[in-house]
Amino acid sequence: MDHVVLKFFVDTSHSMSAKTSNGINSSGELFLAGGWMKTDVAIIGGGPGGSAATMFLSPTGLRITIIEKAQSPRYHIGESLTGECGNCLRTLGLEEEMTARRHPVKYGVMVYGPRGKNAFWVPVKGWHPESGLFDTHTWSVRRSDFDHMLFTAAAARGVSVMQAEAVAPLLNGDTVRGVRVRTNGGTVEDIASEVLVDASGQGTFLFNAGMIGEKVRGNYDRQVAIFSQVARAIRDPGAASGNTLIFYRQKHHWAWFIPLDGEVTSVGIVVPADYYRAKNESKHQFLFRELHQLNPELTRRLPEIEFVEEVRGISNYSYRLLNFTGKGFLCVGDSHRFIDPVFSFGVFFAMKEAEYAASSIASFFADSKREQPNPFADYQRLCDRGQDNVQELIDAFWEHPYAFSMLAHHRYPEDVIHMFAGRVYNETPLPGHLAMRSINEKGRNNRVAHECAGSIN
Amino acid sequence: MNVQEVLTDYIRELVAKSGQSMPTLDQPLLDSEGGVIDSMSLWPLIVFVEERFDIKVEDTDIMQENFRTLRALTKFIESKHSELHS
Repeated sequence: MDHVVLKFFVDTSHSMSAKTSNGINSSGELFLAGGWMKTDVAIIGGGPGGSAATMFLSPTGLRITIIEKAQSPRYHIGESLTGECGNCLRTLGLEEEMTARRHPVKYGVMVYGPRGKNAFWVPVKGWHPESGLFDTHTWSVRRSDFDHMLFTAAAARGVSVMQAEAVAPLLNGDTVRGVRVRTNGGTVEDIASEVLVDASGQGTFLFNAGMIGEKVRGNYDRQVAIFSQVARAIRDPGAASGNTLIFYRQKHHWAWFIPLDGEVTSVGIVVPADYYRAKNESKHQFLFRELHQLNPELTRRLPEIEFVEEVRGISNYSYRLLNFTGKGFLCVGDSHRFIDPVFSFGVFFAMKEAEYAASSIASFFADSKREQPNPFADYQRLCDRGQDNVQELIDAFWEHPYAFSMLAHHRYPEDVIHMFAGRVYNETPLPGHLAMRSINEKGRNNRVAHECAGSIN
Repeated sequence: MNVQEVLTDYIRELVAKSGQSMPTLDQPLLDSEGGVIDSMSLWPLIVFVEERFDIKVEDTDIMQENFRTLRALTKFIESKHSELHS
C-alpha cells in the first residue's frame, strides 16, 4: 500500500490487490496489472466540488475515494461565496467552523457604476417558503484556507484520500469503470469505480481524456483576469467591511474587491484580451495602473497599493462542455462549465452541483437506474437549468445594463436577490428571470437583424 | 404639444440640473455615450412617459436603441402609442 499517500485516513474495507495482467471479466470486474483498488465512487479533485461531493455522499455509507494531486493547502482564485453557497456550508455542518476561522462575513455585493456613481446593492437574503425573504449572510474566503478546511472535513468523514494525479479514465465500452492514477512517487495504479465524479475544475479531466464534449466557447471567452492581494485597502465601516465590491468601468471591463481577512483584500481586473495585449505591460504594471484608473471609487479605496501576493493572470476561462454525464460518470462545477466571474458563482456551482450529484449517485445505487442509457441525465438537466439561468442574468448585466438596472431596482428586485443568492433551479422560472431571457433574446435578434441589414447593404 | 416637444422640455430640465448642454435630436441621451441620462434617471423618465403618453413600457422595450437619442425615443413612444390606441 505504499503507492497510496494516506494523508488523512484510508477506509480499509476498500479492496486492494495486485494482478498480473489487465482485463475485464464477464461480470465487468476489472483485472489490472500492478496495484489496484475498488471503490464505489471515485472523485477526482479535492477542491470545493470534490470535497462537498464527498461530504454529501458520506451518509450513504458508500465507499468513496477522493483523488487530489496537489498538496493542500494550495492557492486558488474565486473567493466570494453566494448566499446559497453559504447554505451549502450550513447543510454540511460547517457554519461554526467558518465563524471560528474568521472568514469575512458578506452581507451583499455593491456594484459601483462608471465614475463611481449609481451604485446598486444586492443583499444576501435567505428564503423560507412561508415567510419569504429573510436577512442572512454568507462569507468571502481565502481559498487556500477554505479549500483545506473542506478537504480536511471531507477526509474526516471516513473516506479514502489518495494524493495522486488522475491520468486516464478506465473504460468498458462506453462505460467509465474507474480511473488510472499516478502517485507522487511515480507509481501507476488503477481504481475501479461504479461512478467517477470529475471535480477537476478548469483541468477538465474527462474532456481532456476525450470522454465528453463538445467544448463550446462561453460568451466571455475573450476576457483576461489579472489579480493579486493588497493590504490596508479602505473598506466600509462596521458590519459592511466584509462585503464584496464590484467596480464597473464599461462593458466587459471591471474590477473586484473581496476582503480575505482583517487586513488583506483580493483585487482583480477583468478586461477584453485585446485591451490587455494593447497595453503591452507586465501583469504587475497592468494591475497597478488599472487599480488606480478604473473607477474613482476604487482609487479612493486603494490610497497605497502594495501587493502581498504574486500577480497572476488567467484567460480563456469561459466555456461549456455538452453531455457531461454518462454511464459511470458525471462532472461537477468548472469541470464542465464556467460562465464569468463577475457575480461569484464559481464555488457555488461546484458545491451545489456536488449536492445534486450526491443525491443522483445515491439514487443510482439505490435502484435500477444503472441500466439506463444515461443514469445521470436528470442531474445534467438540473445543472443546465441553473447554469443557463445564471447565464441569462450575466448576459443581461453586460449586454443590457440599463434594462438590467431597471429590473434589479424597480421591477423585480426580489427575483434579482434570489438569482444573486443562487436560487436558480426552479422548474418554473421567476418573472424576473423570464424578463431577462426575453431582453437577451430580443437583443440577439436585433443584432442578427443589424448584421443581415449590414451584409445586404 | 407633440411627443417631441414634451420630451425636449423634459430633457432640457435634466440638463439644466446637470450643467450639460442640451442634446440635438440625434445626439446621445444615455450616459454610456456621453449623454445626460444614467441608470438612476432612466426610471423617472420611463414613469414619466408611461403616465404622460398613456403607454406601457415593457421590459423588452428598455433597450438602448429606444433611448439612444431624442429622435429614437420620440419614434418609440409614437409607435407604442399608436399600437395601443389605434
